[in-house]
Amino acid sequence: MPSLKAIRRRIGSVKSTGKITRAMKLVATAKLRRAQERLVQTRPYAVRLREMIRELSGGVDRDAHALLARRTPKRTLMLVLTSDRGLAGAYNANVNKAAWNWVQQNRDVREHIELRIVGKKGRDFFKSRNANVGHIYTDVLQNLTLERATGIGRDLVAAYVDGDFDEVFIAYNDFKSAMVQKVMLDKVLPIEPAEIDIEGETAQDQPIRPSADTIFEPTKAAVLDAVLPMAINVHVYRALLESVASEMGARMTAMDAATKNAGELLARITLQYNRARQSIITTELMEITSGAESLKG
Amino acid sequence: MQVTIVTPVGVKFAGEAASIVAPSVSGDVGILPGHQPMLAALRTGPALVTIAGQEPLHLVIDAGYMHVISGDHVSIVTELCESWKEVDVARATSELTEATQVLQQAREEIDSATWKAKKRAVDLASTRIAVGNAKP
Repeated sequence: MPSLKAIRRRIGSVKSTGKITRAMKLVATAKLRRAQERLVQTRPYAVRLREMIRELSGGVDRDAHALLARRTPKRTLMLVLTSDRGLAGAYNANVNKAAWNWVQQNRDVREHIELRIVGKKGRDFFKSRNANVGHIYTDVLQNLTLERATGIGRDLVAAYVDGDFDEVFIAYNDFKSAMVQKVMLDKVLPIEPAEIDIEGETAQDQPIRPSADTIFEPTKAAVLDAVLPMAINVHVYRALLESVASEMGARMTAMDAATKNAGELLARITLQYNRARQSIITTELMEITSGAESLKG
Repeated sequence: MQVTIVTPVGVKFAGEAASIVAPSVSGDVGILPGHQPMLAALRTGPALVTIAGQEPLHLVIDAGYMHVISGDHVSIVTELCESWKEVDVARATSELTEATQVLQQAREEIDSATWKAKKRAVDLASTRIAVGNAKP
C-alpha cells in the first residue's frame, strides 16, 4: 500500500493531466469548427472550377494541355499530409501507413517514387524507414494559409510540367466526422476532368457554363490552361483543410477519451486514498482505545 | 451589372457595378453593361471596379478567369483578390526586391513552370505596390 503522501501526489498529477487534456479538447473543437467553415468557403470556387474544366475540356486533345496529358507512369511523386504534433490518436499513423503501403506495392512497377512530406510526424516516420524523401514542409497545418497551400500546389505543378514526374498523388485524411477520418490517395496530376469530385450544389443562382456565342480571350485552350493549375492549387488547399479538420477531430476524440480516463482513474485513486486514510484512522483509534483500556486497569 | 468575385477563401465581392477593368492574359479588358458573353483568362495584375456613387475599387487579381455570362452578369474566379486597403505596400516593396533577385538568378529556361512561378512573384509584388498606392 503506497503512503498517503504518494497517493496525494498522484491525485494531483492525474487532476492536472485531466485539466490539460480537457483544454486540448476544447482547443481542438474550436479549431475544427474554423477548418470546417473554411472548407465551406472554398466550395463555390471549387465547384465553378470543376464545371468550367469539364466544359472546356470536352472534346479537346488532352495531349495539347500539359496538365491533362497522360504519360506512362514511370516517375511518381506523392505528397503526404501529416501534422506537426502528436496526441491525435491514429491520425498520423493511418496516413503514413497507407502511403508507405502504396510505395511498397508500386516500387517494382515504377522507376522512381519520391515522397514529399507535410508535417514533422510524416518526416520522422519516413526518415526512419529510409524512404526516398524529397522536400519537407513543416509548420503548414498549424497556421494554414491559402498562400502556403497554393505555394505547395505550384511546386507540384512545376515538378510535373517540367517533366520530373509523370503522376502526382496526395495522401491525406479526409474528414468524415470527429470520430471518423478516411485516408485518401488522390491522383492530382494528370487531371481527370470527369473525376474531379467536390460535393456541393451545382445549380447556382447564375449559370456557370459558357453559352454558344461566347468569345474566348485569347482562345478556349488558353482559358483552359489558365484554369487547370488553379484546380490543382485548390485541390491541395482542400486536402490541407481536410487534414486540419481531421487532425482536430482526431485530437478531440483522443483528448475526450483521455479526459474520461483521467476522471475514472481519479475516482479509483481517490477511493484508494480514502481507504488508506480510513485504515490509518482505524489503527490510530485502536491504539488510543487499547491505551485507554490499559490505563483503566 | 452584377459582378461576383469568387476566391478560394470565399466570395470576395458581390454587387452592382457600373464597369469593370480586368487584367486578361492578352491585355486589360474593360467591360460595360451589355457586353457580349466572353470568357477571358486572367493574369496577375490590377483590376478596377467602378460603382455608381462610390469610390472606385482598386483590386489585386491573380490568375483565373473572367466570365461575362450575359450583358448584366460578370463573374471573376481568381486565386487571390485583395482590395487596396488590404495591401501592405512596405511589405510588397521588400517582396518585390526579393522576388526580382530570385528571378534574375533563375537558371531555368524561360517559360518553364518553375520560372513562371518566380515571374508571378514579381508580378504580384509590383501589382500590390501599384494597387496599394492607387488610393482613390
